[in-house]
Amino acid sequence: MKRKNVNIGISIVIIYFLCFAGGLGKCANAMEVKIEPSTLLLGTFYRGADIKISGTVPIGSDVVVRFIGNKKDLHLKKKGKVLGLLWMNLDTFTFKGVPNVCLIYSSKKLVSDDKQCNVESDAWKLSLLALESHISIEPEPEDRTFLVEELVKMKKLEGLYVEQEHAVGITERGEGAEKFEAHVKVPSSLTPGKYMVEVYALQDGKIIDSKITPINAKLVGLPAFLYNLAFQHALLYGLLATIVAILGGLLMGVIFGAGKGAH
Amino acid sequence: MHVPWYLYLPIAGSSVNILLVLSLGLLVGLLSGIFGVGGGFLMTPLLIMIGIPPTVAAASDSNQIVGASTSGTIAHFRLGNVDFKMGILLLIGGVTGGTVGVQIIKILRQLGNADFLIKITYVLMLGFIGSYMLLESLQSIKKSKKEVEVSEAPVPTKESKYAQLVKKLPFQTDFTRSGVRLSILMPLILGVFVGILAAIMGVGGGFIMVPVMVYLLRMPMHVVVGTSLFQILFTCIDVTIMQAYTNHTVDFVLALLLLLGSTVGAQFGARISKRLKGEQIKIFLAILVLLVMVKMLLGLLLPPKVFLAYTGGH
Repeated sequence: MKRKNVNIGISIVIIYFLCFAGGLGKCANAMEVKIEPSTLLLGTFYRGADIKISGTVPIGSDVVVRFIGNKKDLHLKKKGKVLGLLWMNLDTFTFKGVPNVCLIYSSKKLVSDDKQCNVESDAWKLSLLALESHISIEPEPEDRTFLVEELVKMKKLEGLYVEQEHAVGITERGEGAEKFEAHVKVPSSLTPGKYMVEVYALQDGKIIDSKITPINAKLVGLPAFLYNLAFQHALLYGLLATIVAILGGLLMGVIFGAGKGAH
Repeated sequence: MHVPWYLYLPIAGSSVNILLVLSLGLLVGLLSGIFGVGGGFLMTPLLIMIGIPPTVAAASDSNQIVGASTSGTIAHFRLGNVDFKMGILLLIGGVTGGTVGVQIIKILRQLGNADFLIKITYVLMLGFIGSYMLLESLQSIKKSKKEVEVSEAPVPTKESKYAQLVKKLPFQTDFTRSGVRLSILMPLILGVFVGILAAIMGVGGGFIMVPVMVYLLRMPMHVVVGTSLFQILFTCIDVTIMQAYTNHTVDFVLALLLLLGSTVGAQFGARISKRLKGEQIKIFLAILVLLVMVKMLLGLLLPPKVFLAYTGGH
């Protein structure tokens, strides 16, 4: 009987630790993420947006914040020399699974200069360098790594791919958790659709917690009206665009021609 | 007061500075009004440079050219510079040639390396037209100066073989506005030729049509500019509707902004054109053609920044 009571007592203690102590510990360490604004409105005067991403991560973590767009297929031509002299667009390749936007902000440098050491780390997998393993190219090229590097370079020039280290601030350390804050500069070249805000907490290069939140970019006002017209009533849209252009030209003709007689 | 200087373009999926686009429109409209060219050769690369996708840039540019060429045609019509009869015949030929050209380009693409052929044709064509116009105009300016100095009676020149051949063709008719008598087959055949080249090169054709009208149809330069704009108007109406319907690539907001600039530019261009002498217009146009040719040549010779390019544009 006594032994049974002791067993019950031990069980209660274990359950207490599992339910409360563990739970509390988890509460204190769990990741919380807040995104402002929660929707991106692409209205007439949209010219890029600043998304504030803040929250808490377990103490001692490095933080990576990613803003990732839909994956698409891209048809691109590789440039090469013809007759050993002229640079021309040569073979066409289809790059499959290319995110249209990829903004990566981190609290410290994700990849050290020794690439070999990093390939297996989670931090490396979150960087732009890891895109190569997610993108397939058809037909399979001989210089795959070079082509993906060129794709990233092209997207960076367009402002659609960004990788910034020391861009996530750790603002406050509390008990078991620390607060972080990042301001993601969303480019003005943004198409409507669903995007993902991903926050990762890393320790020693390994992901210990993460949270992925979808964020919608939607057209509103005049852009929404024109977009719907262009895609759902394409012929009407084309005719209207032509008529308005002709009327605009006529109007200018009348304004500038006022007071002048025809020959 | 906060003035919103940026507008979001729903089809291009990008935001642009209003003043920048208005200025681009004004500049290209001015050139269009002076020289009678659509300006697509200049506008499309400039739009790509400010971040507009190539296919949207080309289609929206066609939309704005509709407005600019309407404005330019009216301005030139008032100045008595549009030969409608010649314009319509060239247009019929141009549309036929364009259709044939599209089929030729399809075959070339299937054979491979079509882009190479297109670019080389482009550079050679521009180089030849530009140099010929420049030299010919400079020579005729020198000649006219000499004639003024010597003030001799004009010597009757011997008719060239080309002129003799043109006279022999059937269906001769008067083109009063241009002040020439030609067979109606001439503008039709030349229209087909320009249409084929324009389709292969992926341009509106103004650049080739203007020299053809000047040197092969012997039309006066001012009438050439007005008539060329009249034709471009119809070509671009066709392109705008087709692009909007089949590819959804016409960004109306972008076209409207460009239009505001270009219609004003075209009006000033037409006035400047009237003040310039025919030879001067030819010299300026020749320089512009040669500059475009040099730019294209440099693009072919210098190593690119990025070794990948989007498919679609030339």
